[in-house]
Amino acid sequence: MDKMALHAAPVTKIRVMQRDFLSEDEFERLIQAADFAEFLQLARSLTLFEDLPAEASEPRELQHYLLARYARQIQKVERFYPLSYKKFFDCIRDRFLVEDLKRRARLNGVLALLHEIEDQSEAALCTQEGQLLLPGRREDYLRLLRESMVHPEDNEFEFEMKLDQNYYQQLEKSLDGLSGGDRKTVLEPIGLDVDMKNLRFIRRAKRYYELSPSLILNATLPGGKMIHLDELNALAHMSEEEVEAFIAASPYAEVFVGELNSQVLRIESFLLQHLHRLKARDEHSLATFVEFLHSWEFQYRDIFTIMEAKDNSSESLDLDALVLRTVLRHEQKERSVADGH
Amino acid sequence: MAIERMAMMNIIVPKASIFDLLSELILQRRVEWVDARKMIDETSFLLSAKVENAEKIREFNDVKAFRVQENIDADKERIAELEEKTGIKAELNLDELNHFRDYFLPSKVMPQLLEESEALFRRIDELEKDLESLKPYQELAASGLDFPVGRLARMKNMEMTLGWVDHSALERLAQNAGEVPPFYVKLIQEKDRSLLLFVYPREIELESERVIRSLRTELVKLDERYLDCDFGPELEALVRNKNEELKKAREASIAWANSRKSEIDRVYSHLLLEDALRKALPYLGESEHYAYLSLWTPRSEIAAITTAVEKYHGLLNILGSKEARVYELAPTSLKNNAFIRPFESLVRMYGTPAYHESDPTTFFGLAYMLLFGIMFGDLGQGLVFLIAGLLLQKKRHPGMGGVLSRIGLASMVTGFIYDSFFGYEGLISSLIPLPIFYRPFENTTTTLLAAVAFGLVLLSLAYLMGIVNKVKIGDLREALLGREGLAGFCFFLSFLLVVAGLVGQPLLPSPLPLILLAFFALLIFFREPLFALLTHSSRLYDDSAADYYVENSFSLIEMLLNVLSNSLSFIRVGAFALNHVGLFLAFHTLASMLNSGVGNILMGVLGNLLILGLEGLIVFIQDLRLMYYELFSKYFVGDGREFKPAGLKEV
Repeated sequence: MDKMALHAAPVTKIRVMQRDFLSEDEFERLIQAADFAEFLQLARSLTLFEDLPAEASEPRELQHYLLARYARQIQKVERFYPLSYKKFFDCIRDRFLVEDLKRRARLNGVLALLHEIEDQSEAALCTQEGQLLLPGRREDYLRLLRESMVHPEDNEFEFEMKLDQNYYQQLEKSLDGLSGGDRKTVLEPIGLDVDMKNLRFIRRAKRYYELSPSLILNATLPGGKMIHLDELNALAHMSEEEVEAFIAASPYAEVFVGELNSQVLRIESFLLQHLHRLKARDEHSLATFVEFLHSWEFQYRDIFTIMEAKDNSSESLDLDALVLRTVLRHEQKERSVADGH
Repeated sequence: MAIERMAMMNIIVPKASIFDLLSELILQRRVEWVDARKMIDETSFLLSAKVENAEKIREFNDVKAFRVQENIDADKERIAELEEKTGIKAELNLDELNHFRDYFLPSKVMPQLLEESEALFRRIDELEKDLESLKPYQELAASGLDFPVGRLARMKNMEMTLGWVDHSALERLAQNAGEVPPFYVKLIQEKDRSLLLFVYPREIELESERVIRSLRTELVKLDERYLDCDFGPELEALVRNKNEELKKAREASIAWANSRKSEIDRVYSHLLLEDALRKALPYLGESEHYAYLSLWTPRSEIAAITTAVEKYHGLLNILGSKEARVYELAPTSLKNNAFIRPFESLVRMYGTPAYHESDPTTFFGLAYMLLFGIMFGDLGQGLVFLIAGLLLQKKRHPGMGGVLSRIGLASMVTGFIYDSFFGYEGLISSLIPLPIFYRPFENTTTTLLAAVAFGLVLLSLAYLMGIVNKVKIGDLREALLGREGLAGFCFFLSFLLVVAGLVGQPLLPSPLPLILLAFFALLIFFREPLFALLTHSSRLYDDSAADYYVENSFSLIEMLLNVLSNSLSFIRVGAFALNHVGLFLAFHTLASMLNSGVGNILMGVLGNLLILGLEGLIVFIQDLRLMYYELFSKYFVGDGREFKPAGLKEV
């Protein structure tokens, strides 16, 4: 009864907020848009963009609008939960900052990124060139960098791993505020996510960065569901082929096939499917909210990918391979074909 | 009970005198600035067409915004820093400003103060930094480390790094300790992290540092000056000496600040004045030779301001609040006597009375006190509130302290009548036998009925005040035929007559109360078209007729329910009076079950504390609810704006 009382209102609210999700048809029309202008015109007809200011015309403005909407959606549901849950929701919001930092480091380099955020004023960071994904949260960006002990001499890989380590450490601490049941619910997808990230790290480290086993092990994330420290230590010492064999024999085999880009999408797809199952198992739990947030996040990334492609007029880009929604659709088709056989 | 009468003044003064005039107005008078350029645009700056005004009239066309002076924030920050570093508090010296005003004083004196204090503050900063640098050494000493770190730091072929590592990273390091280049030892272990000392050959410095970084190590920098210090008595002596030096440096800076206190206060006072002047300037206009200002002020200040303006060869014209209402509504400045004044804060919580409304504070204050006294009647507990209120008044909260002391007083009076002293009934009557005592618990029905009756009296007064207010603001329709007007009041009285008939106490013969009730309900229902007909207006309805009748149908039902609920709502006053006694009875019963003298006393004390805290708060809130919801809704709109006189705002 307590659980029902805690989750009934937010679950109802989330059901209403499902209108933010695009239908297959709407999504397809966005992908098929000839250019950004057409994309924008189509977007304005969607519920998701109902509050988009009339003067917004740049991809950046749409991005900021979507993130602001995301933050508002979280807020609407957050208030139904006890105050002790706040840290957990704040951590989820920080995901965007972490991803933005990683993306900017890839573009400009770690050192340049550090200088940019530390040395420039708030106003300068909001200019078109220096614009943070979440302007107005400069202090949070700096906090993340400081907490992660990011060093100017870190390479991009080390930088990303430190950010992730710090993020997952904070996430784990934030779970202390959740009720026992909710904590258990949320630990499951987090554990899977950590496992997949660790495997990906180890693969990349061996294939592209040739890091020593100790460095690889130091960079892995704690809190995995199925792959713990001993296995990580063993993986760190294995050869590349041995690592591939381990992965192929693990429950994560289907995720680590294909190119690097599609791997990222498959990881997200795997996670989202798991969250769908958790939600189906018990709708009146935190899984519903977490599933909603992840679905929103993945939709946001898909829309952003399409938006960027249209803005850069990248007609040659195969959006189907870059967008999670279409990856999921193909997987479903494959599964139903396999089931049919 | 009063709202101060206000006037708007429009002033033109030679620019050379503007700061003196502004200073005088800010320091000595009560004025609220109005946008002068807006007043000029709306031609409320009227001047007679005389020869001596010709230049001023000509320059009206060229009025522009007054230029704001340069920033004084840096000086304000320096004063704040000075306060922080020396612990003294700069104080406002009004006398200085009134008699020895010098607008250039901050720029003259500030550099001098900074020069004198610079060396002192620098020394303090240095010593604080030194002590901060010594902290890692102290931590190492506390860990039991007993060899000079300097020797490790100066190794020729090896490098040393100290850093905090969290335990999950440490776990990983332990897994591959044999493979990582740096040798490490744990020096200190805390709950989530450990301090490690890494040592590695300089040849593999890069790789080692990479490993150390991969652990997200929080590096500890050791100040080179102290590397050779041993961790025993030498370190202790060093820290002790630094602390003593710091103490002396702080004392020196405090002594200096005290010796220059008067200058610091002068600068501070002048900065506050300058800040207030800067805040006023955006409201001013200027032309080539003149400055223009507009302000609201209580009528009692007009003579003094006129004298000041004439002193600076200025001109002014005065608009009464009614004339000025064309341009802007007058602000409200409440003027109540000292006894009622604390209740202004509670009234303002609901809303500020509009200028043209009657000030509800006196009625509110008296009714609030009475109701609180009835619900929380106890001589002893009231005395506690009275004392607490008086103390609070002296400290930081004169408003709330004033309210608390007054409701305490009311509680004492009713407590005396209830014969209750800290919950114990009978004590007072045994000492002072008078035939005036009334015990609520022994007269429950009377208490509840009396509470309702009292509520009805208050509601009637509220209706009457509402009618007066509506007449004052010129809303005759609502005053006569509105729900809270005369018709509404008559509806209310008719309702009471109907109820009286139902309970067997008819005051009028049988169908008459019902007829009256229906009659007044219809009056209210048709008020708009009726009033239009009475005043020969061409428009019968403000909006569409259909909307009017649909809305008013529901409104009628709501009105009936409101009248019923408003009347019955006051039963809670009686209920709380009973509850107050009942609650202590419960503690009394528990005390007697304990069967011990000490237990009895403890239970008595605990009971009183709980009642004072918990029940006191509940009664406070319930009383407020009755005042706001049942009464204010009848007569108080509260959409005014508060008169906020310009003044010096201390930080």
